[in-house]
Amino acid sequence: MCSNEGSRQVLESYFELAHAVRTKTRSYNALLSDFQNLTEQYDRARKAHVAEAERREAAQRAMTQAEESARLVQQRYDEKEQEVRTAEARLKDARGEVARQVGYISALEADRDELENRLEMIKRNLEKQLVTMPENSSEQLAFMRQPSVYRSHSRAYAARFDTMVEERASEQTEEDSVDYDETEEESVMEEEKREEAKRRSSIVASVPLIRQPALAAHRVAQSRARVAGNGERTSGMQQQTRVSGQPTTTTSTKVTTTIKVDEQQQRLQTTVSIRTSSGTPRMRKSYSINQRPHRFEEYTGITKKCAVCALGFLFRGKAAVRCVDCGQHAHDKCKGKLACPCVPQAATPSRSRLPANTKFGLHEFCPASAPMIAVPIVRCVVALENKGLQTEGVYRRSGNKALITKALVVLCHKKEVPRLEVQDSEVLTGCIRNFLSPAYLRDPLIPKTSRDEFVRAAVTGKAEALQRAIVDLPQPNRDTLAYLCVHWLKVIALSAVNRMTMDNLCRCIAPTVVGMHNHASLATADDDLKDAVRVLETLLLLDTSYWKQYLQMEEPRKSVGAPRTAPSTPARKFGLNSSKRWR
Amino acid sequence: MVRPPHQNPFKLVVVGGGGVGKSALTIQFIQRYFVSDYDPTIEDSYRKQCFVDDDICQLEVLDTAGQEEFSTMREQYLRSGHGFLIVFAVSDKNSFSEVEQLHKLISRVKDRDDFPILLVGNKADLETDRHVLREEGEEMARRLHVPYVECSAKMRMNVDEAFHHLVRLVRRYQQSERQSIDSSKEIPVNTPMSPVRRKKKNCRIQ
Repeated sequence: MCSNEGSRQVLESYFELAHAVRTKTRSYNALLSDFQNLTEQYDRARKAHVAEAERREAAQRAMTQAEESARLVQQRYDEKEQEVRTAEARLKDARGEVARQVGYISALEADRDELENRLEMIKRNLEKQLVTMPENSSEQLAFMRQPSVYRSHSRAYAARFDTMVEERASEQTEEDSVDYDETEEESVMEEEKREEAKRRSSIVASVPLIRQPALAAHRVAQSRARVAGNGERTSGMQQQTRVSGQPTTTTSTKVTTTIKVDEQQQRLQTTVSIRTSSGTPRMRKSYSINQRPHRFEEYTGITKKCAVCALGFLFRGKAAVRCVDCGQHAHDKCKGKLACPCVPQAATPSRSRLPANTKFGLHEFCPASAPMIAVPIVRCVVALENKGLQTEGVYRRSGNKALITKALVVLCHKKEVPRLEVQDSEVLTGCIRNFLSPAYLRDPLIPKTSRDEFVRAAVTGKAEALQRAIVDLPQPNRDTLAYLCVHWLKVIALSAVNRMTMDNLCRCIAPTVVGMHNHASLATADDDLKDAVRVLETLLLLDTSYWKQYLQMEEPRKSVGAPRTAPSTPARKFGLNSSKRWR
Repeated sequence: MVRPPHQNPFKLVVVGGGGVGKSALTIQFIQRYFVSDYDPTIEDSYRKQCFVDDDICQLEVLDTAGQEEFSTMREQYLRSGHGFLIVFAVSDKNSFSEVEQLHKLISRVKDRDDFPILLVGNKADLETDRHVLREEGEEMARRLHVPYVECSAKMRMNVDEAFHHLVRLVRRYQQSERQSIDSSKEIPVNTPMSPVRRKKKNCRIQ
């Protein structure tokens, strides 16, 4: 029984246990299935999440792509806009150029008519006396029986540009064409000013000739402010229309000057009289440096001598003047005859204390104010352009060496202004070339340190690199180069007459301008020479208007309210007169 | 009968001012036509075989730049030349004034006064534009002790004659040179046949 009891108890507990186990197992199973369920759900969720992430990533990628393309489009848009601006600027320049040409031509025409009239008069008078003349002088005057050949060259030249002739015919009504010419020049200066403003703000901008309307507007605002402050200045309404970016054809005639009226008026008068009275054909002076007027102030001293008549001021008791810029003295009545243009004098290095073959730096010949062009170069170029660049082989043929040396010494080391107009054009080009040659200057126009930079830019043809190389030049070198390039472009423009094409000119002067390394063999010298020619060609392929932006003249020193101009380049490699450069 | 050229080519160098017609002269001689285009030479070299006095010779003509800027290269070709044509244009006084300087330069580089040099007045066809008289040219030639020829590259007047004359001068000079070397081997004293060596007076480097 006992055992029965015991076994029953055991059995019972066994059943209880079994039951408990069964319930546990069941709950475990339930849990397990729950767990599996959860795992499944988790997996599903995770998959969904991954898919979601992928989708998001794809979307992001698409977005960046879209952004990229948007930027590209923007860039292209900017480029196009720049191109449009460049084209607009070119158009304006071209229009200005055409207008100026037309003005010049009508001026020439007036000249010619005047001269023909005079010739006619002389002829008439002479014909009466011809019979009473001695034998040989009447022989000399034999040409009078022939038809007039005066200025047949310019006529032939003009005849080649048929369009120009037609335009001239339409502009015939413009009587005071010289005046017209002047105002046009002012408008060019105005444009250059704007370019200058642009250049100051972004000095390494790659494309030349970009106009920035905002800055230009600023410029105009400035000039207007000046108008408000100074009664002597006038400013045209026309400027506003120009700035707003619509090229108008009327601009050429109506732009008014921002230069002092009284001085300018006087200058205009004298120019007119010179132009009509001179018998020799004159080149058009297209840039204002070539006809920069003197700025006179009263001079009360007695120690100096008049630069015109070479007499002192001591017992004359007459008014004397002194030019603020070039420091020449003259009697009041002589001042009209003072050599024009005014070239701000640099301290000419005296040679007497130096050994005979001393070499100089370019900056020693430059004035301290903005277009730092070497004085001898300005004088030679002005004289050369007054002579006309029509001589065949100008810059190719060599001049008389003794004359060149003599003229160069006077140009560079004497205080007085040499009479260059009596020299041959070969002598003048010889002066320019000798002055720039390594025999005279320590460093060529493009210094040895920058030479490789220029060669690289010319070989690769990158406009930006070239621009940077030019901007990095020391200012005297850069401005002189710019001035000479403008001049050489004029020579090239007349290549039909003087036969100096770009190619010819470059081959003749490249070694002087760009400079050569010292060489052991002919072969390397040859390569070097070709490099030099290529550099010069690249430089001359740039626009005249591009070069002119470096030739911007500074505001006159003593004018009221003129804003001080900021330094135009960051790079200054020379240190001699840097302190007084900006006065 | 053509004998093969038995010697090194004669190097003839054409020098003179800018635009006087050095290239025109050279090309007229070598290629027998007149170049009318106007492009400045930097340096060109031509070769030609020709008969002078029934004797064949190889010529190498070096056409040089007239501009002074190229003077860095100038000394090098001056040193290698065997004979020189100094060309000027009779219509260009400036180019004539350069002649003396060039002669001086050659004499200095060669260290000789009697080097084969020929003075050539080019553009002789431009009688109306003439600025250098024939007499002036002859006078200059007498002063420099060189022969003078007037020629015209355009008309092909005296072109061959000028070059042939120079070849003769070079030959004569080289012969006398050889003789003087031979004779100086036998007799150490300078014979009157040997070319006069310029005496250096002021040279302090010994």
